[in-house]
Amino acid sequence: MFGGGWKVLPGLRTGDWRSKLIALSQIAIGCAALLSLLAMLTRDPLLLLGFGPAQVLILLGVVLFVVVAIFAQRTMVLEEVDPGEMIFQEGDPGRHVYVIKSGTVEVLMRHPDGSQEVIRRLGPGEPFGEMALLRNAPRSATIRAVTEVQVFKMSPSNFLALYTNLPGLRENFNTIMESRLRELEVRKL
Amino acid sequence: MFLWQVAFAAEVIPAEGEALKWGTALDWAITLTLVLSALILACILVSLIVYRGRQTEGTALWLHLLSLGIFPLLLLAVGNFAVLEYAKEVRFCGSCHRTMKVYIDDLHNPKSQSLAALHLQHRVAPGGECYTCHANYGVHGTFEAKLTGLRDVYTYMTKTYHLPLKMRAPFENLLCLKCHDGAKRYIALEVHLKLATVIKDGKLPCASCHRRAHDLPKPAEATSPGGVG
Repeated sequence: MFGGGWKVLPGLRTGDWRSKLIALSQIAIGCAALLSLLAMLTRDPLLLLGFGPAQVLILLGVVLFVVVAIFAQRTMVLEEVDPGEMIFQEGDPGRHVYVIKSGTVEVLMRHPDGSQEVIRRLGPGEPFGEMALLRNAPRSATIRAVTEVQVFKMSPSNFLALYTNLPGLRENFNTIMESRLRELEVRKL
Repeated sequence: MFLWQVAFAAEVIPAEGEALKWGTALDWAITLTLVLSALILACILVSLIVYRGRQTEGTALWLHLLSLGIFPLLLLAVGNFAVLEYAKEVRFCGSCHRTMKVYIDDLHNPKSQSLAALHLQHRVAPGGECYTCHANYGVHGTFEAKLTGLRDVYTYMTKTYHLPLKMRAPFENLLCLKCHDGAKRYIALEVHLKLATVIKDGKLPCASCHRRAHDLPKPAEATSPGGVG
């Protein structure tokens, strides 16, 4: 997971501006926290005096986080997922809708005995996560990345605005949802 | 007392026979600063592992609210208090070994009769003797002392000091008077009242009648800066 420098804070290398700001905020506040930890443990006078400039880092980090917190939930964000990583699990609460930009994910369904079965694979342009929002229910399946995946993640309000105002998109999503529901029911029988 | 309490305890030297006490505001501030710093680092680490690539997701933002919002703001308040309070300790002043060692040695010498040593022996300000005599009263005095200290550190780091070191300014009578003026033993001496104006104006230094503030082994070494960091 922490193979290289960029791997530690992947948001800095890729991802949208919100991920980059969060990564910068983490660097700024992390450095200040490390400095104050060392200063208090060693009581070194130079480290203690370094707490002054570290305050600027803390304030900068907090401001960056506040900017992200204000805007993150209002718009669509691009997220990156590593192979094998879960995007969400069956039964989880969640209302965000995803559209794959690149890569492949697999849809897994849990059997009563606890085992999981891959029921389909999804690729670029295909959406998932809409069933939980439109049916107001927990996630009906687990989504796991097969390759390195980039997904657009839409907030519920953004998706509902599109769903309500664009009949073509609504029809398309309804068709997808009906077919997936049917598949799920068949498999559960 | 727990071991960690001893480790984090502020360096107040207990009187003979007195047990080291833990629980001052400074002790708590240092402990809280350590805890908050560790929590921030732990939360950042957890978010990097658990929410890797999904840092702007709803649940990740709740974790960020702690690690990048609430805890850092608390750290600012508590850390500032801890640093400013710890910087009042004799140990902090004595950390500039080259210039301060002789002063600290004299202060802690039980046989010394210097004013500094007597103040320590009478436990006027346990642990904060340097600051109590060298910094002006109140918050303004604290910041002034810290700024002087920062200037000294800058001068030391950039090696722009000149030898022999000299006091930045003569020791002000007001620094003695902030505690002694109006005290029962002070006003009991008629000469203090008669010369009150010249004493307060600084025209007659306290040291002209009273003993030396510090007994230093070599006169040449007594020329180090008088500011308190």
